[in-house]
Amino acid sequence: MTADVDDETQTNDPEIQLVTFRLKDETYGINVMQVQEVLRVTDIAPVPGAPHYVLGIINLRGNVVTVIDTRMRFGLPQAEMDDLSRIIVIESEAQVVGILVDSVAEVADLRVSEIDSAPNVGNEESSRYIQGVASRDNNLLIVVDLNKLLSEEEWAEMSMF
Amino acid sequence: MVDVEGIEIAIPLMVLTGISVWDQETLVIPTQPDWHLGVVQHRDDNVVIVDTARLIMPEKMHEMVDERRTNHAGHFLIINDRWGLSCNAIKETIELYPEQVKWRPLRPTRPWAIGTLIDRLCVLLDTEALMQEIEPD
Repeated sequence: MTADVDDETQTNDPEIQLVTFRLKDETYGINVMQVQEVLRVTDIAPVPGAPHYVLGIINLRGNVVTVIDTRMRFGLPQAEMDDLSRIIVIESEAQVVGILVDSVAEVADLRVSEIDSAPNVGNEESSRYIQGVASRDNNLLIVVDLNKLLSEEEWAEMSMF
Repeated sequence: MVDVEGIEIAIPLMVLTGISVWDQETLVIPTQPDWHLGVVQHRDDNVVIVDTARLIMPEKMHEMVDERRTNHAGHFLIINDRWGLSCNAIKETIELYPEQVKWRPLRPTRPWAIGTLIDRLCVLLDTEALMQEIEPD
């Protein structure tokens, strides 16, 4: 009986794993299934004519990967990169891109029901990729919907650098 | 390989008719577009020098036009008897094979970028497409 209830809970309220990272003073989480790897910051080559949120490109084992300036995309103030800075290589909308973050924290387990929709007080541009917020260890975690980080056209452009 | 305002750019040698140090007197013509840096005499031709940086990365060009015309780049690449592309330095000549380039079969944006050199992470310039931006058919 208990096992049946547990099964039902898992079906209706699946557990997801999030890779959490820091940007400025907040913790963000992205679905671990979309994360390919986490890299220390290497040489990022600037791309002439690229949109302002594209930091540049890196060579990842012979593949050119575009790196997004996540702070800029989120409308946060710019910061110098340091030893904690990381590039999270993600796959979204059939594109592989890197997102630059201040640091990577951990992998967090979360039930979908624990994610509350975020109060939409930001502008539409910056709030569209915020899936919701979750409370974890008395701190709030902002859950990011990577697929909405860029528009369809912007995702398509990511493969063209 | 050339340096354009600190950015490395690859340009196929076969599309150039020459490379010149830019130490000639430059005629600056009023009312020209921002990318028009002036006219120089090269051999028997009057060559318009195009501000390469302003065309390919306007987002990084915060200098005033007058400033760029006065303190101009040190070299220009000669496309034909009419046009030259400014560049800050000539870096080196390399041999390039197709598999060393990530090609851009579709170019809805940055049509002058025909691909990216994978090892050097720099853009391979399509001079014809670049000139199309300033002198469409």
